[in-house]
Amino acid sequence: MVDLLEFDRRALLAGEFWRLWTGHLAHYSAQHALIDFAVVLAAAVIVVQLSASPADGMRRLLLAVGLGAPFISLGMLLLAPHCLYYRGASAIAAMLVVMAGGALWPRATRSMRAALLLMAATLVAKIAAEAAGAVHGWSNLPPDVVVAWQAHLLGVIAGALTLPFRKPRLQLD
Amino acid sequence: MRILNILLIALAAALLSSCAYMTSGRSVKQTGSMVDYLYPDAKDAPAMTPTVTRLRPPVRVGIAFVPGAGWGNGLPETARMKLLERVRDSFSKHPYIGKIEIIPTQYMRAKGGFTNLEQVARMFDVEVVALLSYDQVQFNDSNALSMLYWTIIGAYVVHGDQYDVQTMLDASVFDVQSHKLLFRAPGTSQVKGSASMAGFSEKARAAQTEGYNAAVDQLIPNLQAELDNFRERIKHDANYQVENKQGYKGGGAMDWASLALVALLAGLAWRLRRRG
Repeated sequence: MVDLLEFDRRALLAGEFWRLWTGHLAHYSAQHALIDFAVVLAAAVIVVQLSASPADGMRRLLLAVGLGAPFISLGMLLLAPHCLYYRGASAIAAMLVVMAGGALWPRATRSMRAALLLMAATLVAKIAAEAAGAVHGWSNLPPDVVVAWQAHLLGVIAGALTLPFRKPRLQLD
Repeated sequence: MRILNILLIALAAALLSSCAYMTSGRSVKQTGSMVDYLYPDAKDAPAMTPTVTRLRPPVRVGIAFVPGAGWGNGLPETARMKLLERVRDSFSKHPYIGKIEIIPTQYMRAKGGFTNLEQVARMFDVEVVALLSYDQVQFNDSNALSMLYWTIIGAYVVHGDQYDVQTMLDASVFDVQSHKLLFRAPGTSQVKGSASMAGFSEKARAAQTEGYNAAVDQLIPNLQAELDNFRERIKHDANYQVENKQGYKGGGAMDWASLALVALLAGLAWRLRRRG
């Protein structure tokens, strides 16, 4: 079943386009799925809570995931040509973390903004470390699976692209 | 009158003996031979040049029945596919085996040889093909109860015919590029039973299918064991080389640091909400 959902380069190029979305739902283990979905859930709640209204937040969230998932998968096709298979919701999680940070930014105090900048730097440093192959031991991936840092980078880019389309909440405050 | 009686008795004897002839001592054979398929009309032993067989896991495997000798030989295609699906399902969970493609018999040409095997492998994008050859013989005999067939009702009620279906399946796994036999495993079965004359054909057909199923039941663990042996063998055999495929499996994984990061974000959001 998971084989039908995962990002499989050959299958995708053969026309199994649903994998653009479902690759982010497939995982290598229960622990892998649990941590990814915990981050997704926490970031999604922040995005919805800090939107102009819960309905607007949900709409934004669905739109971001609906468009962001294929954006990341297509990006993987182009940026990581040797990555034959990919599983994990972490790229979506990275996108939502950036969206959550973007939602916090306009209302944050100076000290909070400093904390947000520090977090953004940590995220970028983490992706750089992944690209250098330095952090496999931290992840919960099986030993024969390489951390797809390109997916995380694409997630961050996708999250950044959503920021200009955010409705400010100031009108409700 | 006496002549007429003699004629009637002779006619009855002829008819009864023909009934007995219809069902006794007959055997039915279904066969799909690996040698006939891969080395058709070969008079000399095939010349094998020593080559290094390169295997690149996860290996893409095709699985097919060897085409039979004549039209309609062997199981119907749907039954074959079901058997192949059972074999495929039992091997699909190995990480070093990639996709397992079931190749319908229509794509296999009788006496096609390695030329046909290579064409099919290209078409289905597989590197290794597991070929299932089969040999099934059905012996039909009458027992003493068949005497009661002359009562006509007996032909429907009395189990006077016996069948004995012996099946042998053999799975041979070939590397398509080097034409090398990697390993093989057999599966055999024997199904015996009896039926009335009227229900014999139906029961015998069911016994043939049961024979194939039982042989596959035996084949799967044998094939599994041979696969494990092969994996051990190639570690020390210089004729085999295991190479990594170009490409890798990627995974996007959030770690505990990411969880901590999002927890900090949640904390900031909570503080903002409290501030109103």
